[in-house]
Amino acid sequence: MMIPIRCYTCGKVIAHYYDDFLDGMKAGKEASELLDSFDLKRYCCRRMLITHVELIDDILTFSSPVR
Amino acid sequence: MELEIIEQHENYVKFVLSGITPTFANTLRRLIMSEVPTMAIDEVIIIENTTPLYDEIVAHRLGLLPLKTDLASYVLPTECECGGQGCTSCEVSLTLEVLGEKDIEIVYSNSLLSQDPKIGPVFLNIPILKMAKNQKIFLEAIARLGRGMEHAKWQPTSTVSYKYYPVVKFNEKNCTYCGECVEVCPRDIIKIENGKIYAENVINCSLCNQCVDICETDAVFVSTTGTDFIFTVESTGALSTKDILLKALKILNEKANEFKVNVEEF
Amino acid sequence: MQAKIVRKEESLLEVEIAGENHTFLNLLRESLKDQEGVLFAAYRFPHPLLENPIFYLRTEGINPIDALKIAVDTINKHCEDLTDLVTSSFT
Repeated sequence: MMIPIRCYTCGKVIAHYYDDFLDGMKAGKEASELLDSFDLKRYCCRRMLITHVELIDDILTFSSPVR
Repeated sequence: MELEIIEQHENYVKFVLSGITPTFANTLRRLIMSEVPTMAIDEVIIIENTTPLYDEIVAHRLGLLPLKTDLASYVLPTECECGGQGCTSCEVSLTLEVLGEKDIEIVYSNSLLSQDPKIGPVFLNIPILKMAKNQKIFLEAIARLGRGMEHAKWQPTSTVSYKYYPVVKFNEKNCTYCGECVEVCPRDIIKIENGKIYAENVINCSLCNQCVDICETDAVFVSTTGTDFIFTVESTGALSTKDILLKALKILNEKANEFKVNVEEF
Repeated sequence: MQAKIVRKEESLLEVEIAGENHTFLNLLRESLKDQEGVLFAAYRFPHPLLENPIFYLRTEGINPIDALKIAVDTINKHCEDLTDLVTSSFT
């Protein structure tokens, strides 16, 4: 749904990197470079950003706005 | 007992603690993980939520936000004078009120307004939820002190770990200088130079013993000192690494004193 | 923490310690183990959730209660040493 706030495995806070990660990816940077720049060393934290699919963006278009 | 800091950044510290027992190292780890209290959102009163995310999801996400903690002015609800009912010395109220103005509105943790300026989200750019135009979220969150043994959101650290200080030795009489141990070492700590074999940055050794296994002439020995430990403490930002360690030791001291009082009554 | 005696003899002590777990008990056991005059020191959980841990201590030549006091003092000393080290070396 949304980017998890913490790494499932180790509990490190990772959500605040997500916007920078997306911007970096759109700018054509390597995922590994970006993750290294965030100082995410463990593969458990790295997979959180790499494998995430922001499904909520699709759901939002079907949610009814309030009058 | 000696302490040497190897690496220290904000919210991260790596140090060598020498002259202790493995038991003491583990006690310190356990204290940090499960006994040091931190602040986290524990109760969420949802007044209005018309976003596509369920109340429970929002509450769960809020709970996981690390909050800056002031251990001097707050106490655990169980130890509070109010008896855990909730008062200004054991609770902080935070409010979140956002109305969607854009087609996709992202609510970040900086929208969470705290009653006490000393308590608040550590990171201000964590996305809490997303909403469409004209949708609304209005809630009150109550943060309390708690311990990691009850819920992981109250852990002051994401990881605390220790490993034995490695000792890598070579028997130069047996060594054929074939270089196989140099090649197999995943941490690249073994070097052969000018007909001499030696290990550098031994602290990086992961004690995997691959060099010992591959050596046909039994010239490599990997062991540990047994009394020296390399600690890594990684804080979530709620408390500084120094405060975490000091609080852990204070808790141990209190436990020991309390036990002594009990024993003296026997 | 609430400690109460389950069994007490001249050189044997059995204490029930409510509200503690491996964090403190393992350190106490270790610190007793290195002490002179202590024959046996161990603890167990009769049930991990429902019952409190029980600490066993058998000594030779010294009173088990005195042995416990010395052990606690050793723990406190380690604690204070490390507190001083952390205060002086951390920035």
